[in-house]
Amino acid sequence: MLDLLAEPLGYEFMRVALITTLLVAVTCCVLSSFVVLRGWSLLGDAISHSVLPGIAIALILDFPYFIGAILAGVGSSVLIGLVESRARIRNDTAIGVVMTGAFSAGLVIISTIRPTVDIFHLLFGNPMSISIQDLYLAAAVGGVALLLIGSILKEIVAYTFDPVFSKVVGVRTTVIHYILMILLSLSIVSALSTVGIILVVCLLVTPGATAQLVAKNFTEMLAISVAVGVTSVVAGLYLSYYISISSGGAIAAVATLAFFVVMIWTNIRRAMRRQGPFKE
Amino acid sequence: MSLRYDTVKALEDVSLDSPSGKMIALIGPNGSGKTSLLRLLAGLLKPTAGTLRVLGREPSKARGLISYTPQREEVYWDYPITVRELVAMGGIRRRGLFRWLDLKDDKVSEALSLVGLEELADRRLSELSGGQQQRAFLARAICQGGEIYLLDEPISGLDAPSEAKLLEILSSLRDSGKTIVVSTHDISATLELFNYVALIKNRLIAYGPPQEVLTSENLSKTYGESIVALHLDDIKRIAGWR
Repeated sequence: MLDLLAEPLGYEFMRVALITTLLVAVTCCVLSSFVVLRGWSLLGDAISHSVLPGIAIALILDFPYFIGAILAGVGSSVLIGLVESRARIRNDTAIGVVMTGAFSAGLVIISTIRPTVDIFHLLFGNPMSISIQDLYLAAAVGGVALLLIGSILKEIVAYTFDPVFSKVVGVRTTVIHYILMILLSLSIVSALSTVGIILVVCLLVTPGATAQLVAKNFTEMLAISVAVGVTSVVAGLYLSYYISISSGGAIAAVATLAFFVVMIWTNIRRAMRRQGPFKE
Repeated sequence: MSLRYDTVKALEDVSLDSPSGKMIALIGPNGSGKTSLLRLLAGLLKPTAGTLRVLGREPSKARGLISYTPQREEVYWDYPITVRELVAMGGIRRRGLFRWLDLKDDKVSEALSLVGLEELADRRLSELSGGQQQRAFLARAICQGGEIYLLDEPISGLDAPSEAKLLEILSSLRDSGKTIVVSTHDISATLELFNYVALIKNRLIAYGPPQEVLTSENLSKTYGESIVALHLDDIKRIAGWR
């Protein structure tokens, strides 16, 4: 058993992949709690798709791709807000319009330049090609995200729970909102090489959703969310190593499985309590 | 003052004032502009015409002094938060960066005991009854320590004992000098507890002490003829007016 666990770690690329993906997962899972509680699942999806044109333009103009991705990610969240208020359509419609628009723009731009970056890798990740630079990027993003969230956690909780109260009491809600948008974009960028921009949505939504099923308070929710993410990454990477399947896909699949197991378990528990001699 | 959303008039020529330390009810049917008026008072909206002063200043300059409790529909009840955490949120401005909410603050326990929720303090908010949840939100406002309490539809959906309990706490806050503004679409006998009542239907129908304002004529202007007859009988019977 121990050999099975240790064997993949004998390879440099597996060690780099594991550490990088774990860093990404911790960042995403902390953000996941806010994404789920604020009802931003679709927005997370939109930002992740919208970073593509940013990356494409960065490749053309030859500046670091994560800067392009951040600009595009935050830009898209601003654009969604604008479309929603100016066109007077519902939020999910605005997200649908901006998301597909940005994603297709990205595809068009990339198709004209034949980049060295494989589009399939951007979309779904490729842990076998994770470089040490990717690891540093993930560590930097994780560090910045945790430090920022840690220092304004109560403001973020107040804003995500009751934005109107927060505004009246004097919390800078717009600042908090855009800090979260920037952190979302950053976490998506750091996930590019590991799980890709499509499957990162799974790490931004599913662990938080799983945690919400069982958590009693906010700190518990954060902890469970991170635990689900870390477990999914480790299990997913080992699965992909031993049975040669897509690692990003395996990680997302394990996280999804965890969600359904917890959901079924909480439902059974609730049903048993109802049948028991004492009511809840 | 007036308020428009693009071409829609939410409130037109509403003019009222109150000394501090009073309890005021804003009454009107759904969509009559009660929430808009509360949001103007809270500084969340700016009047499109006219002026508004809260404690003698612009509402946005009175931030720390105003507390706002949104209506039930605006709260995400499944948020994993305990009652104590919710109440401690009221003290958020007193806590600096890098620090979590002060759960051991004396103001938190005082507020909890004032609304009678000490024993439920560590329960998850979603586990409480409607009346208890409303009192928990009131405790947050108390913990905030403001002078003006704005509550949007706090008594809608509550049973009679819960409503009485909530109004009792509000009255005692009023007696300690706080100003309470409550919106409600229900006309009930408890309105006699208020110092002033404002009937609103996108404009001010009437404003003054409840006995003077809650006439059948004013109420029909606000709600329409048929509905009022029933309500007014109830009020007369229970409150023993006229």
